[in-house]
Amino acid sequence: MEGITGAELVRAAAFLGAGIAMGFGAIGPGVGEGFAAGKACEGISRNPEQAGLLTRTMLIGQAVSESTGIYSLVIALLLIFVAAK
Amino acid sequence: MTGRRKLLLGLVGVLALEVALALKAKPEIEIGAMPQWRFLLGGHEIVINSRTAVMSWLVMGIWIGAALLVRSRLREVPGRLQATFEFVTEFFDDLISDTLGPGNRAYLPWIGSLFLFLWLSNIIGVVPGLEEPTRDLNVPVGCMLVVLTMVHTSAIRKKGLKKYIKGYLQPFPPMLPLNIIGEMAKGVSLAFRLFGNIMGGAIILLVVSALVRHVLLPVGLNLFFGLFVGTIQAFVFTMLALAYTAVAVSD
Amino acid sequence: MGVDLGMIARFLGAGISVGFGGMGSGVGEGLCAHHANGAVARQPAAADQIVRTMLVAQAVAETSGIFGLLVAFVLVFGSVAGPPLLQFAVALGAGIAMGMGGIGPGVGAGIAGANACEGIGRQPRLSGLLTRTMLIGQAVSQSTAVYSLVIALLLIFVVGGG
Repeated sequence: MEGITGAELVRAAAFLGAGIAMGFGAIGPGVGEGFAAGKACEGISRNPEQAGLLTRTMLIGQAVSESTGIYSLVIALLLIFVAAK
Repeated sequence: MTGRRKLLLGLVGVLALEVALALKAKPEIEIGAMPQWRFLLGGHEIVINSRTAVMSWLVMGIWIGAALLVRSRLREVPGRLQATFEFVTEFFDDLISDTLGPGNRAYLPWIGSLFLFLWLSNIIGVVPGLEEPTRDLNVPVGCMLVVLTMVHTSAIRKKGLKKYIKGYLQPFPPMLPLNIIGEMAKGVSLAFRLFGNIMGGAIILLVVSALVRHVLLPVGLNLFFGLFVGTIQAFVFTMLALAYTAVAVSD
Repeated sequence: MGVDLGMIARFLGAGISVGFGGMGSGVGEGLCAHHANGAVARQPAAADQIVRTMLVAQAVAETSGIFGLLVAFVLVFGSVAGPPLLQFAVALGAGIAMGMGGIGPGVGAGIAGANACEGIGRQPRLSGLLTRTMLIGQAVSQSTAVYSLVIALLLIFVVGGG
């Protein structure tokens, strides 16, 4: 494997790392937000008058559980555009 | 009965045309090819994605024409066309009063035209020779910018600037940058969800068509991706715009 | 020995992308159907609405699988430029990002759809409201799959495009 410089290795690691960060980071929020949405649907079928409140609560809860996904996105973008310079 | 037969005949015609065009098409796969107009204006080069521009103006033209047509023959007892338009209007009127509460009719023209534009944009690719403008990332991003502007201005108008800014310091002030990124990520996911679905459908169609030499299978796939996914994604985009507005206005 | 690192990684990445990406969608759609069946058994009169909502829910839960397929196609039929090691990292990174990233949203969208079907089984006249809420919830739970797609396409077209 001649011809591979150290800088190249670092960039390669950064790109691979970006993929891993976003890939695995997306698992948890996806499932978690699904739970929120599921319970909101259940709640609405039990108590339809509160549909608006339940939907808003669901969106706020999802926004919070999405924050780890957003951290992954930020790290992946940092790895691609900053670390791999 | 005869109306249904006409519809069936039209559908068969479209399918036949589709097969004929597909048989003629070259089995090459080109991803992201974008014909462009370039011209100089005051020393700057202006680039316009010609196909996207033509297609989105076509969509807008169709809706403007349909609206003018319906308006020119409004009647007390609605005809079929007028009834369809009234149904759509009422549907979105109910949707808005369900999510934002009653007395928010001012949102109706915005939400309604957003949906109609995106819906026709998503499904227009089913007609042979035409292409979805939403396949170009610029169109979803443009719609997303409109939505974000609308969400934030209505939040500021409803809550006042001070309370609006305070919302970014929740749950504690150091979270400010992350809250801002989260707000931007909302926009990114809104635009890319639409773009990814439409572009994904287009690319899968392209590849599958090339693999099976354009025989029959792509027609069904085209109907699934074009009509079904296109309609759902347009509705999801509109609903999310409404829901984000509701959340921004509420707390 | 002419080892084409870029091509190896493109094919590997495509496999990972569509394989893992399909996993979540599969489980999610299964969950939908499972709960829809239960709901139909309990409330056969509402079978129509339940099946309709189930199909919509499954189509949305399919999105992350379709993104995986999209990235796989782009990897197999497209090409990545640059030094071999970078090609390797870019193609494999894109595959991992989309493949793994598709698991969670697929399952999550399935859970939302499953509970919506159950809810319609309980209250058939709310099917419109429940389907709408379900679509919003699913769309939001899919945003991480969308971020994965963004990262994968960035890697392929911006970094790997030269």
